[in-house]
Amino acid sequence: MTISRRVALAIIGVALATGSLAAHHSFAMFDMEKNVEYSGLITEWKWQNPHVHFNVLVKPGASVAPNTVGTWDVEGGSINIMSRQGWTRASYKIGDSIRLVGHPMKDGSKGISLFYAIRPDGSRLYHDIARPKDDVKK
Amino acid sequence: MAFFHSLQNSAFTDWFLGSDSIWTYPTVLTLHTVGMAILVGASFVINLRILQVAGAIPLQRLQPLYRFVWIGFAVNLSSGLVLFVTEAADRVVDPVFYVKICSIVVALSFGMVVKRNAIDRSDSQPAASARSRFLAAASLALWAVAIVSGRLMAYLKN
Repeated sequence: MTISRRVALAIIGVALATGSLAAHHSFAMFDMEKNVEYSGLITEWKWQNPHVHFNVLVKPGASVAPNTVGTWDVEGGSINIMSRQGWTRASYKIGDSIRLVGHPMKDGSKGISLFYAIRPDGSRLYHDIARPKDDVKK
Repeated sequence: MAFFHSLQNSAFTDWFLGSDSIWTYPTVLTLHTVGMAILVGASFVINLRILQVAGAIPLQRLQPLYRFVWIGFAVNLSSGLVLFVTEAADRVVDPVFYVKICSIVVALSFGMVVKRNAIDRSDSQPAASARSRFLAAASLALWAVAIVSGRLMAYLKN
């Protein structure tokens, strides 16, 4: 085996070894098959790259699913991706109430990948271009 | 640590990460990728030649490639500093970040030693010494580690 072939194999080995580490940032940590609705108050609003983040406080109540109670860290897309779906930095602010549908973390921790927010008129504000098959344009 | 928190929470960071313009974060991140391609690309060509790939090319003819190494490095040092400021407090406690920075420093140092010992010589040899070849092989591996760890920083963030 030539030296350059050995080097190439070593590089591929390093890449494969590190590639198997657990990943954050991709959607792998969210249960993308599960759509859960949350209703709460915005307690933190970070309109920023590379991912928009906001926190939602869901208080216990008669009509609230117990497993949704708590403070959730909601992850959206980049500013550019969300802007094209109609979001702006003023879409929500701290103290606003919000209804949203998202994909919870697989490990049960309080993180959500945003699917869409439901505005007071019932229309949906999607996180990106993904749409459910049965979605009717409102 | 307070200093790094003040950088991360500065008005500059708010503006840079929160701007609706694609000329802020997306552009600087793209520059960081293009700079990496120039820096690591030129380094790969040099190191592969040291390892006798395209062995007919005289070693001295590699000298102009170092200009691209430095152009790529300058682009990435400046774009990297901006990106670092916006998450300074997170990065100074991130072991993956230190793996990346150390890999870059050592890979660049090896590159300079190879330049001095194998490329800048007036009595140009057709083949580099075993030591230069070892350093070139190590550089290739270190650049791969730097790229992989750089990418992993986004995935292993706490």
